[in-house]
Amino acid sequence: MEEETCLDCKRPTIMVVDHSSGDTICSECGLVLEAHIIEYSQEWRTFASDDNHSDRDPNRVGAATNPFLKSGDLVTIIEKPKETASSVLSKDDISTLFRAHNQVKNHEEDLIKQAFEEIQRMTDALDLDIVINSRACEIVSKYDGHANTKLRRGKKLNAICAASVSTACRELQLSRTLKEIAEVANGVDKKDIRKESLVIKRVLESHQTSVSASQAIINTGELVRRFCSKLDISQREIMAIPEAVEKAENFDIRRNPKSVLAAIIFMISHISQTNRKPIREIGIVAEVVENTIKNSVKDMYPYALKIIPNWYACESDIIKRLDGVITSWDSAKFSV
Amino acid sequence: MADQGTEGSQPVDLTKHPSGIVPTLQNIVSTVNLDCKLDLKAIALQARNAEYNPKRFAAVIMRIREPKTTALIFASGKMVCTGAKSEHLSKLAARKYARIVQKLGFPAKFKDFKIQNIVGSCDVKFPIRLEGLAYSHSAFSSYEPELFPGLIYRMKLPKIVLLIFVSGKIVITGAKMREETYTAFENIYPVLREFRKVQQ
Repeated sequence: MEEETCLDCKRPTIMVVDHSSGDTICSECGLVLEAHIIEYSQEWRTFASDDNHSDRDPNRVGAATNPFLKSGDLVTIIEKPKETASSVLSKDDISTLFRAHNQVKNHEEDLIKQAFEEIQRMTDALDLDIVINSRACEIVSKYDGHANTKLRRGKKLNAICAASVSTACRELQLSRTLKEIAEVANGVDKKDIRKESLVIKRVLESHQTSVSASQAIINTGELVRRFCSKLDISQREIMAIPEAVEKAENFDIRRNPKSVLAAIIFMISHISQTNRKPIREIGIVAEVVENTIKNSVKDMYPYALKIIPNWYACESDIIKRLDGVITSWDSAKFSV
Repeated sequence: MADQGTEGSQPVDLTKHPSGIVPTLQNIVSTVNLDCKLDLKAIALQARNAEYNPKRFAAVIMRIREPKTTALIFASGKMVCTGAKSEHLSKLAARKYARIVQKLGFPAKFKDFKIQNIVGSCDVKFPIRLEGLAYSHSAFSSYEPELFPGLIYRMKLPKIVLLIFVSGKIVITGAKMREETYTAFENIYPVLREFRKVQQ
């Protein structure tokens, strides 16, 4: 209760503060003068020294609740006593309280929080979207909640996190290759990621979640845009490459899809005179060894006229330029 | 045209093999119980065709030339016979190994002979779009070109694992009877035809 000037009454009136909604209301006409007042003191009890105002902590709210955790991440933490604390409680009392709290605290979710942190680190390293991060955390949460699979401490935890990131990427059609994920996964091997992905697939199936068919395999088309943007390829070539990749699927090219994609990128960029990409650069981006790209180009050369779109280059240009580069490779091989 | 392997060149029974292709059996794994305790060191010392390295593996590895097979002989009397090309040859080889063990002075019997695994292979002679097949049959397929170039197809009925390669070569494994291998191939053949690479 306090007295302020009401805008409607045009004179000082008694104000009522409604704490539940944070409004200041005129007691005569009901006008809301202020809305959503924020109380800046702590929401919970603080044990800072009452006599010393410099210890006052103006934090108001904690982080948002985590829907993947049973406790919602609303746990109490008692920190270890600080050396310079001028607290009412003695250091020994705080140590005793810390140890007692540690005994009764629920450790069940320590591992899953550690998994969430690992997923956050991986998705940051791969520049992935927050949607993938959330989906990967959800997958790990389901994995931990399943009867037959439990998170355990050790290297396998990293493999499970990497596999959940891989699964989330594939579900959202933003696939990363196993090699890319393995590089940021702290020493986890591609095979281990694959193994854990299969376990995750079974867990999701038993949850009656509809596992999309796209999870089964990386579609080569998903890699095209990312590889092209890394290589800074022109828009005309970016339109030609997916078309060539789609056509190449019908030909008897017995190569890894990544090798096929790298060879197509090389051929299309090589045919354009203005914006050629060195084969070493393509190899780094596509994770394919330079020699494999050369051999793939040789394998695909008989089909090049049918694979490369005719709006992109005419027949004689394709034959002339690709034949020239393949001949130069063969000459270099003989001279070694 | 069909590859008959050790069965000679006969016309294909189209009622049994509607595709016209008969998978060739490549390897058969069988087990038998000799039903007596064996002194592996004595076997390794006396038998000419045996090798025994107890630090590396706890069984005697014995080989015979005809049929060309390898046997693992354990101290418990259990034996595993691998490498035969037909069920009959596998049993014949297992009997030969049992006879060798008998000649070395052990009262070996021949109990519970069982075919454990049959591996077959064949070639459909056309290239296959593995990505499309994996996408369309994602419940059964596992295709990870970064790890293994073939598509791993886990058929439910019969319970057989097939390896499908882009070249059109197929490996069929996990069968315990020859008919399971044939049935699995006849089941997968229409799917392979559907995902044949059409070179336009």
